[in-house]
Amino acid sequence: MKTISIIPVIRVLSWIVFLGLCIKAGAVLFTFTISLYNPPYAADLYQGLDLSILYSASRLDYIFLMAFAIILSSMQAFIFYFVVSIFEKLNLVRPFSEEIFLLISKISYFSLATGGIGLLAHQFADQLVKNGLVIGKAIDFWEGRDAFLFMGGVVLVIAQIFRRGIDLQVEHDLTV
Amino acid sequence: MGAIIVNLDVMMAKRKMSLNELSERVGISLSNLSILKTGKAKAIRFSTLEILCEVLDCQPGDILEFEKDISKDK
Repeated sequence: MKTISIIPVIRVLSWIVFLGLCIKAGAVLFTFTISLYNPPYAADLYQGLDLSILYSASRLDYIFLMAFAIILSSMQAFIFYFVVSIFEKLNLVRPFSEEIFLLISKISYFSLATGGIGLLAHQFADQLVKNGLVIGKAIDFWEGRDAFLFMGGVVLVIAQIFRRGIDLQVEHDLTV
Repeated sequence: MGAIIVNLDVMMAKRKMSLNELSERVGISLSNLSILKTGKAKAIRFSTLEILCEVLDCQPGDILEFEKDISKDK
């Protein structure tokens, strides 16, 4: 009973987070595209992110750094798209289904990939800082990389347990 | 490995009982009895076996049979 009452709340929360992440990814992509044609925009990309110094020093590095930011924001939005899909397809009468298993697996793979790309982005940004370039708040985009790697691992284990749950449910359904 | 064969249809024929009648008398849905009859069931509860034996007036061995895998014996 408690589970049933908690699920709608988590469903609404995941929708809010998903929409927020979509707006973030869209805003980063939009401001980046604008800045390519209008360089002064690199001074105020997303929530005060100023990469104008990097842009004037090396346009290629700027593009790489922003590509990491866009990819990571989009992947986080994708992870929450899968979370939202789980709540849309969840059936508590028969909770274990192949469809949900695939979504959980996708969450784990995307989380691991986000963590991995976050690590690469962090290394790249470190290199830029060592070369004396200012990247400002861009570091926020890959701040949770370790958490994503950990989450990916945990969710992968949960996906395997879920797969066993599907077998048990089929066995239960065919018990007369 | 051998297999468990469900002879429910044989016992129903012997007792001249239809699936509908059996379903009503044992209180098991037609779909579940059909799963059992066609051998698709993965497991059978003791309670189900008890009520089937009572209604069909038979022993569990009349409904279930173990068939050895002949190809492996050779």
